[in-house]
Amino acid sequence: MPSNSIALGIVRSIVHGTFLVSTIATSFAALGSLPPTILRPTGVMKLLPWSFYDQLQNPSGMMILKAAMIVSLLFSTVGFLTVVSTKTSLLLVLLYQGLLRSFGHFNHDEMLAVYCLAVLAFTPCGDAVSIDSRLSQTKKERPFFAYAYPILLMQLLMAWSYFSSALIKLRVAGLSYLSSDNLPALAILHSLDNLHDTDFRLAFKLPAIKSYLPLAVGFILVWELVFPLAIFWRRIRWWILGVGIAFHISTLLLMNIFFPHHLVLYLIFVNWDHSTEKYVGVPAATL
Amino acid sequence: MMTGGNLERGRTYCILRGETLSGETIEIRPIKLTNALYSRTWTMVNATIANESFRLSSLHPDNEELVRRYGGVENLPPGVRVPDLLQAWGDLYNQQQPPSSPLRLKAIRLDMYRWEGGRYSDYDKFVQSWRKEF
Repeated sequence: MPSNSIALGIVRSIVHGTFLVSTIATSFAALGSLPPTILRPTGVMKLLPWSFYDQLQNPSGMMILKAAMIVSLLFSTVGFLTVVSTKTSLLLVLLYQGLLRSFGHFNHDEMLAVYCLAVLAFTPCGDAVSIDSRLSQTKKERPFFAYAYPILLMQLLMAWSYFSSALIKLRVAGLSYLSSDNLPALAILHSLDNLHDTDFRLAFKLPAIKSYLPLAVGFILVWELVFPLAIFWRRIRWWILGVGIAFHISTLLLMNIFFPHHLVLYLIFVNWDHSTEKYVGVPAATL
Repeated sequence: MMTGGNLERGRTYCILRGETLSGETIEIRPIKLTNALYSRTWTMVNATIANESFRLSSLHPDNEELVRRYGGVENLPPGVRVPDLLQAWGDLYNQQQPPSSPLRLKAIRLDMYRWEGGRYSDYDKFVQSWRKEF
């Protein structure tokens, strides 16, 4: 388990940097062109008045939100005013993700990363790999668990996202989840329209091999159930994560559904304090 | 996704198309217009067709007015706000084209189809269409 300030600082840069890149690459003005009358605010978003949505859900309102998010996420990624910027980034991303979910469904791709933002906002993630630590004259001394605990918590959150996914499938569908028509019917459904993000048509080849597919579906169920072992058993960690990469690429090719945020967050399983010393040759204390 | 696929259950799906000034009908992928909605465009469209924004405890004032005009939520036609969504997508698409381009849209439409299920064929039984002219 990574247990020093450099590991937590790198994880902070990865999580916040992921949202920074996706914010820059997203057209907020185009999103603001959609009518607010199709919004269905969910959760705490219901507490906001419609006059707020009318002010926000237009091209200029969304551009202001984008500018605020870029500044905040840039600060939190490079570790400038980290105590404040990690919290403002969390709040702005929460607002933005809440708005997106008011348009569409509860997409769990970004949710794990949002939880990681929440963890990072209340931990000493700016003690290293940050402008703050460069500017600070005094080196902060904290017990190792102050840095190890947040990383462990984020790894547990990821493991839970897969483990609970398997449990829900078994609870809702039971053993019928292993039926030979499950994957072909689901994959074809997600390949018929042109509203998905990609246009892969491999799903239509699945009915021809459907008798073999329960094995593949069962393998993925078992993989989700054993994912928590990746936290504690380093020997099989990279096998589990490797299967995860193959799984998410296959959902893209077969169902036109992708989980980029989830995949980037696999990087929280890297032992960063060990890696920086081994490959960069820089001891943690100097970063 | 948690319930898995069920071959026996029928399903509907939609295709966004544009009618260009040159008279062609082209497919338009919404992700190229509103990339913020990655992985959720189809659910947004399904919810808009189902008039779900009219089934909230607190309605947008414009939606409240529309419900009043129709005399109740139950009287609303399916996808009563789909034309507004099509207008926004059509405008975004035309903004991406040069002013003199024959690929600019004169109309945009959302075509709904149904896969009845039961077998791996006959995926495209036409159900209905929403169309917006510019």
